[in-house]
Amino acid sequence: MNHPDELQLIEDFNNGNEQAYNQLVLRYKEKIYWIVRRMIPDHDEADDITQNVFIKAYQSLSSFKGDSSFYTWIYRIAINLSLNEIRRKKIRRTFSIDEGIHQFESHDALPLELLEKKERTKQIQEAIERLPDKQKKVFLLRYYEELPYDEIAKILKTSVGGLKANYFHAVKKIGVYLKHEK
Amino acid sequence: MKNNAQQEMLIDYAEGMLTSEQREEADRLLALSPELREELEIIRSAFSGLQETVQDTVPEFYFSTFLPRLRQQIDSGKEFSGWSIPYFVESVFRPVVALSIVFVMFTAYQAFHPETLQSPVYALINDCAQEEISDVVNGVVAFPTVESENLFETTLDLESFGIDLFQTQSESELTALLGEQGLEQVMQNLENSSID
Repeated sequence: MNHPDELQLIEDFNNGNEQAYNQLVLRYKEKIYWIVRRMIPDHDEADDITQNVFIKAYQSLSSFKGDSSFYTWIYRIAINLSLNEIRRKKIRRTFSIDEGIHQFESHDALPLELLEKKERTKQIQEAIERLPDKQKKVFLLRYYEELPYDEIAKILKTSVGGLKANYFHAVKKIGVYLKHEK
Repeated sequence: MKNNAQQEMLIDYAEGMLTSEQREEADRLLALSPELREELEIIRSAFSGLQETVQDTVPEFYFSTFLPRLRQQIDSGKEFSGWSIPYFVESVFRPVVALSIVFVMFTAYQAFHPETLQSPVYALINDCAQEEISDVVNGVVAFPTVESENLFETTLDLESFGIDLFQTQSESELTALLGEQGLEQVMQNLENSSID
């Protein structure tokens, strides 16, 4: 459901109040950034996409009918733009491999425990990147965003039963990947 | 193959989300099935790995400066650089653009290399052995091969033949190859042939 004040903010924006849009940005910038960042691990690229999400929202808010909640609507934009970007630029292992290796090389005095965590983070990132798009979306929304299945179903426009199966297979694939990488 | 209920149970079990009754039932099922136990182990290792990860970081002041940067982009009215074409459009758009580029390059190449503008006549003669050309010139045969005859029948009428011949700069090569009289003779033979 929409927050009542969000519907008001959207209406205010559509009546020319730019401050109303700013309020929506302030409310969702971190959530949107992090959902994008989980899919596009490089910060600069994630920042570009996050801005594009809000720009698209700015341009399309007049067509927002309130059938779904605002955050369902904007999450959907974020996920679609992120996946488009992944497909377009064929991002493969951007974050943790490039960044992680550089950090590894330039911080060889880091404690062993931290290095192991970084290595494990890299493996997790690789495992997530290898997931099929649908499973990836479900996993990110469920695990990192901790959204209930019915909310995810609204965002992805699919059935709860299918989502649960997708989540199970995503987690299992990550587990299998980690097992083989050990 | 596990059913959805078992998949959900394994996830909830690993996340500690089961009630005590559900947990007892799950333990009973797990005791009976090595496959389920193995899958639970995989699920647990996934969650365990996920919890061990290092938290991603963002530059200091990133979120506090996000809105001003965004507003600057919107207010400047510039074209949004990172605007993504929907993938399903892009998947069609890219091959079309690629083919268009190839077509333009090919056309440009031909324009600057007219010798490659092989009219059907040029192609025919260019592919013929000298003896075959002589036969054509002398009117022994109108067409040296069945393929070449088909080529003329399907792609060329006399009018277009004339246009092709004189528009293409390969005419000079034809002349060099056959001589002016030879070329005239070929044209005469073609005119007398059964091309409609």
